[in-house]
Amino acid sequence: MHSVLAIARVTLKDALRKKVLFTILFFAVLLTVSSGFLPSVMAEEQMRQVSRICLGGIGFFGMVVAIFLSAPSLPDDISAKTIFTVMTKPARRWHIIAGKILGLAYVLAIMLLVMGGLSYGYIRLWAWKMGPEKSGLPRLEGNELNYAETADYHGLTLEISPPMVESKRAIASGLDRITYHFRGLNGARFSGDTIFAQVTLFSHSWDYDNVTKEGTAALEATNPTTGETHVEVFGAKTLRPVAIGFPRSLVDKEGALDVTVARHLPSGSYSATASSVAILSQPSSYGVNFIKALAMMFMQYMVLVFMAVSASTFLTSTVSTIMALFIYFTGSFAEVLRTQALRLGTQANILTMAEHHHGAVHEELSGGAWALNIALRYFYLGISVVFPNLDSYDMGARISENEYITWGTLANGLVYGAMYAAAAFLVAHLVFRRKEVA
Amino acid sequence: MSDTVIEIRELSKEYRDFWGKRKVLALDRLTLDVYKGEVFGFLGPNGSGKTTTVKLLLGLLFATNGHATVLGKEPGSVEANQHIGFLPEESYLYRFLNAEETLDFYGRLFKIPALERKRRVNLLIEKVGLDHARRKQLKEYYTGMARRMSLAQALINDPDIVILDEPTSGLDPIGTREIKDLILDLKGHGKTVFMCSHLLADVEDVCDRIAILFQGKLEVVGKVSELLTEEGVVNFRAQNVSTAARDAVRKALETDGSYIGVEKASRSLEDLFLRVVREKTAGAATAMKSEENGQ
Repeated sequence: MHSVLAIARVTLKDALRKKVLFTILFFAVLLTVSSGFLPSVMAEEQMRQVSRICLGGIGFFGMVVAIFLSAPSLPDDISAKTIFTVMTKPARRWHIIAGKILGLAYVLAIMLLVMGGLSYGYIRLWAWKMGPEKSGLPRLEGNELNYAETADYHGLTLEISPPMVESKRAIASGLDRITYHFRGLNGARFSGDTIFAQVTLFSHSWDYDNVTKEGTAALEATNPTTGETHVEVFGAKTLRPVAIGFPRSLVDKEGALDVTVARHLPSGSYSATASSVAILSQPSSYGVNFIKALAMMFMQYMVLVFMAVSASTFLTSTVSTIMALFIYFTGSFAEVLRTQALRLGTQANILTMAEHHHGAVHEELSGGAWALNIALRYFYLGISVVFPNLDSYDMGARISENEYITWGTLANGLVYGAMYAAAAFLVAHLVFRRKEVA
Repeated sequence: MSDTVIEIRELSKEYRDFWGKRKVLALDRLTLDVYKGEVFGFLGPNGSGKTTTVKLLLGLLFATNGHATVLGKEPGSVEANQHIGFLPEESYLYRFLNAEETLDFYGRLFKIPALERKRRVNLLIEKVGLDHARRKQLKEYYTGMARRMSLAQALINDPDIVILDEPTSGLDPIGTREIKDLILDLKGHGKTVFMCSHLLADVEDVCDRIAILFQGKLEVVGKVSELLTEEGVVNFRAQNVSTAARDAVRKALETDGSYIGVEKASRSLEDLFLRVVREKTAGAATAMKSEENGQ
């Protein structure tokens, strides 16, 4: 391990003594500062803009550094033959690869800390300058912890379909009373003895004269085992999320909790109500969310570094740089490729204008066209598997939209990235183990 | 017979092109032993397979056929490399590091503890005469300085076997002499030195045994003293000889029928160069500095 650390130190020193790193840092600072001066209509919008540009800038410049430092790192040592003096020391060949990767991880971590720190400071400065009312600096209410998979409506069980629960928020529609069954809450971290549920109503109510009546609604939290219930009535304003607290003891030993939203309408009124309920865990700050976004970025860079270094064990410096750029761009579209590929198959989905006008029917493909479609389908699916889905590491939108980044997202990113990193490292090791350096 | 530290058996190396077709046979069934404590010279014209052999011994290349061991270990293995010091043909060092950092880095690769590492770094920097440039980045070094640095890195682990590839290339006569002295010093400390060179004078001065390689094949191997002995030829050396005495010796040899010639002794060009330079400058240390500034 000594040799891995020694090589990592040298890789770091090399990067720090290259002027390119400081040039990039300069541009990153320039972009960050300029982001505050772009015109925008609303103060809140301005903050969002600053957030997005700062994180986008860090993301882009970090990617540039990750690719342009890692791809040439090994080939440059081989062409300059400095590798001779390292390989003839008691360092195993995989130590050299591991050392390079670790060194690049140091560089990227330092860069993220510097750029992230500057950006965060800048965002805080803007928020302070605008005052707490106008800044719109995202204040996170809490973690949308768990979603209900089913809900009851007048004795009918509704399955909450997957698109509705993407943000870990249960949404169901019904007329006046709907129960959400939450499960798996016992692993959660709550502050104190009170649990908060965030309820949003999407209601459209009317009476005979078409005047909207908002009235009130009630949230009933029930312990499914003991039947103990807590009721809280609140003003039913549409699209205004409200956080309602109730005793933690209502979550039973299995971590289950039932939450019922009941709509109280004035007599003579009718309502079509949809509601969404999320259980909030301990609140988190914008700062914590920001750090999580940086951690996700770091993972993304490391996936790139692993793949670029791996490619550079059998490609030249230039070719592996191009390869790394290709991985980056394809990786950013991996999800799109995958969904599109799944649509390719038995049907002709691409309609020409003429077909469109004549109301083309989906016709079953056969023969060559079918084979081509199937081949393309697996080709694109293959690409979407070989290349990591780097887009899933981009948290810029979540930060600026004030969306809480869960620990689960981080854990997923880590496991997913680790798989690609391990595969890349294995390839690098197998190639480099028997590579001749002359 | 002494212990064998490098054992080479039927070692061949073929270079192939992308399609697997043989491009060149760089080394052809080389069999050779290098013994503990000797200075072994590996000679041959450019392209004869010397560097290929060295790279095979260091595990930088892999043999097509045959095998070699260094201290009984696989070439390139951690166990073998632990005891080897390697000076490549040119100074392949990290140009952005300074002398201290460079030696510290290589010391770390050997897991030398911090205190001991610091001691060796200082010792070697002084030994190769780079004390005045220890904080300079290597990219600012002149050829000769970089070469000394290269030598220092090869000695950081106090190696048992020192492999030198063209050790005197890029050096002026003073540097060359210092390297030769160092080789003899290493031998004095019981180290084994394996050196490649095509500069015959260098080899002749320091080597115990030599091998000559030509087009990948071993042509000659043996002790320098034996290989260079001309059967039946004797050289006399004397100082302040009068003409009468010289004539008398010649006459005696002529009667014997074995007379070839009597000439005034001349020193080698190297000796002359060294004497002139050393007289002009006050000692080798000052001479070294002038070399660096002048280059």
